[in-house]
Amino acid sequence: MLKITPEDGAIIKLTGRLDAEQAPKALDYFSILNESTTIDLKELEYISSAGLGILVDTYKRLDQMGFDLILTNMNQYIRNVFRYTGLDQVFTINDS
Amino acid sequence: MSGNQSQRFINKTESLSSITDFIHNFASGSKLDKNIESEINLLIEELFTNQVKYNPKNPSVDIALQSKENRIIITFSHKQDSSFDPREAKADVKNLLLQERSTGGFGLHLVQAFADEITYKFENNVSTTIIVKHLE
Repeated sequence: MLKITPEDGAIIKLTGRLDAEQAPKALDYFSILNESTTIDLKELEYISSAGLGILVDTYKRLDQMGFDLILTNMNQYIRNVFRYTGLDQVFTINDS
Repeated sequence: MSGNQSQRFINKTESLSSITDFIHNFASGSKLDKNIESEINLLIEELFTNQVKYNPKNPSVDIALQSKENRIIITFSHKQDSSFDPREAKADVKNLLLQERSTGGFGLHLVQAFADEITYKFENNVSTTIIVKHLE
């Protein structure tokens, strides 16, 4: 399951799994973002290419509007997913 | 460490929850750490969703997991009209600029990146991908 929790300061906390089954739920939420946003991944256990595609689409859309999408607190597995796709060189990724 | 598990799944995205539970049970029984469990999950999900998308007429997929001599062996098989070798999928997304990427295209690239060995065979209209993941 995926839980999406909005927090103060344009921060969104993701909890659980962002896989192909949960991707439509994330797409519904992220497609209406219209400001610079930080996504806290501390409690996100797992992501697949379906989830990655939604983050990329959201990044591209916000970037075209002049906004940022920042990712924080990736676990080692998710960091490797970003590294192997080269997306660690594209997104702003913070560890804290 | 040794053990094996196999199960047949309906060829629909909704099967992913059952597949996740199947992998988790295997990982718990084999005492795998969370990162390895996630990597195995990714390898299987990408093959499975590719199958759902491009071979929707196929009713089911068989997945087997085996732990043996510090390796995890994933066997993924299903009926298919023609051969599709995941080793031959394009894997050049890493060097493309983000704005040139399509939304898709990451899946089989990730399979190639996370797998230590991939073998493929196509016999009697059955497609079988075997992935080996080495444990540190």
